[in-house]
Amino acid sequence: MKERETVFVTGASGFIGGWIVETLFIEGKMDVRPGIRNWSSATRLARFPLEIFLCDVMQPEQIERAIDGATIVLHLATGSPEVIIQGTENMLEAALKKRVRRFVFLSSTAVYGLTAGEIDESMPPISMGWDYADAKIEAEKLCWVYHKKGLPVTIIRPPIVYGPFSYDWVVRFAEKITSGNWGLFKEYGEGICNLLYVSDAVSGIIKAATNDRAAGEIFNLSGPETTSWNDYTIKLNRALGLPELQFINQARSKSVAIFTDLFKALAKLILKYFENPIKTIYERSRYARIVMKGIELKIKTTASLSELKSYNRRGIIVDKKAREILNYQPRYGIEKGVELSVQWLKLLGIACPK
Amino acid sequence: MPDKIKNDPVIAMIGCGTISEIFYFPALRKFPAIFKNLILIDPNQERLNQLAKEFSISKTCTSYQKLLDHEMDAVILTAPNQFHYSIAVEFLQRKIPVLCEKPLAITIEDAKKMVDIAQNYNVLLLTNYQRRLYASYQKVQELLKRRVLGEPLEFSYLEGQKYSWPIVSGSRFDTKVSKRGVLLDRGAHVLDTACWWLGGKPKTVSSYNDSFGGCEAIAHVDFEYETCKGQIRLSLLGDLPCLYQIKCEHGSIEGDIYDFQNFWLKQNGQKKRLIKLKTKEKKYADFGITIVSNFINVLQGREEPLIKGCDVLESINWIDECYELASRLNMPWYENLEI
Repeated sequence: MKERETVFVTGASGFIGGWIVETLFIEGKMDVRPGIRNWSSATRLARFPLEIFLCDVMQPEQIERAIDGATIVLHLATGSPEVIIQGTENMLEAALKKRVRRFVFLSSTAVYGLTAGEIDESMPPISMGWDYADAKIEAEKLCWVYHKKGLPVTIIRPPIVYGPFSYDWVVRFAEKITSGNWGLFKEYGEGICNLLYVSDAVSGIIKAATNDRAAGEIFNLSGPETTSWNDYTIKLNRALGLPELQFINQARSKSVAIFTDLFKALAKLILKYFENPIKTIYERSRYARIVMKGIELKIKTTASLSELKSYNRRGIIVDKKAREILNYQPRYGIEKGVELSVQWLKLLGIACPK
Repeated sequence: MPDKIKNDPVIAMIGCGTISEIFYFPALRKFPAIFKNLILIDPNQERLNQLAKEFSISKTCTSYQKLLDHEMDAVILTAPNQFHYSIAVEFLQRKIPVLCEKPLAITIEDAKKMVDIAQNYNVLLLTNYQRRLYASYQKVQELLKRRVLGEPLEFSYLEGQKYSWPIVSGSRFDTKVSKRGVLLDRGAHVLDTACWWLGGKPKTVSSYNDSFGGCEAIAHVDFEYETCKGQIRLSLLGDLPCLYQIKCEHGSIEGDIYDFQNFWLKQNGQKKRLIKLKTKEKKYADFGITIVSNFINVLQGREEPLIKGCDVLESINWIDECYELASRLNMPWYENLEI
């Protein structure tokens, strides 16, 4: 009989890391040990009676203490390119030293760049000059170095993961929709949106961590259906109970995006040189607070040029290998995933219609 | 009346986390004669060294027990919540006055004992429930007390912000020591404000939170107080509007919960108007000066205490009640999880 697994999760205060910890705790079949970089991010995890470990992946001593006794390490911590690359190497080194049974690195389908058509794991990563994706590519290379040294490594490449606690793809999207500044983007919004509900992502990651055949392999994960960004926006909008969104033509969305990008750059510059006086005005004047919050909301809820481009990608992530080897079976269609996400938003009282 | 301290008091700061650094130290620096004799106490030697260097403080100690019998006139207690009771009691029993950061204690039983000991030993026990010092809150309390708008009918207080307090240690999240979260943390202010404004402890109608056996991050409390029905919504996971609203028979009051100078008043038949109040505090950090100078002046017999430990007992009692009655919120996303 296999001994009970102890799973250590880096980046456990993040969206997916938090879900892994919660799922393992609720399921109760494995012991789970969350690792976080700083205590201010512990509020979500602290709802569970778990010992939380401080584990800054840039601090080797912290890592060694945190993973001592773990049989599986799930490395989800992210950050700057340096943190992604050096942090992963630090984790790999410690995991090798502690002889953990499996090391899972959470990469991303961003490593495929702008590749169109069906994308499986045989597609080589492409550097597009994006900091995040390039760092993931480098970190993947390090994983294979340590795999050769004897550490059983598995790499997971998830697409856009959404669900409760997703700030990027649920909260911010809902804020955009409810702001009244958002719409459906003709042409731009018709790109493929590879959505994966977070519970399915967790299932894929854990299956990969516990399957003997997964060592030394890369797995794409994907949801049960593909959709377009416009379709996701329509479904989220409907679940929020809002009036139908209007189409914004390509020329208009592009010109607004260019103006917003310029305005954003200007605002950043002003903030860089006048941060303290602005803070003081914000604290002292109610009207200044209203104006500044209004500007911030407008910037946050208007599509930038890079966002528009990302909504127009044409790659479809194929997860056939995970289905065959891991018996991975995503269960949450977009309707269900969006419904649960909106129920969560309503509990939090955020981004709900006024 | 406790004994007055004639000279500049020697104060020990117990617990050197973020609140000490950003709230109490700047305030104490306004009293150079006191600040130069300040004693810092914290189990983390590295943290003590850092603060001692940064603020040029010469006296530090890693254990308050080592200093119990040394000469000190007063204590500012900013240790993690779960240690307020045990530490405060040791000093109060030695007749050393204590200014305790909120919450006074984590249970009503502990809070009552602290207050009783302070009374029995005739020693000062003050606390920092800062919102009681806001001019806007004081005016709201006065309007409600005088029934200017008639009986209060509906009360709503929403406070939610993603937690970002730069805490130094993880003791706040040590579920082996305390499983109390947002209701004790933010709730200490909010439930205290509700008790203070309404004139007493309301009756809890329902209490829900999102705990799975640890410290809750979301809490929903519905309550009644005489003619008034109320709701409190607290969250450390996401942004809520951060507003309070009280509807009364003849009008309403509403405000931004962090606005210590202004609030909106609407009297039936009249337009809603902004009530602006002048305050000596211009920013939040200034309340540190108010609370610390009051403590010093009370020690020297020059002022009455702003907030005594006994003032907040009703709200601590209510928080206890909310925890006892709490059920888990409906969170369907945690149902049928499968790997």
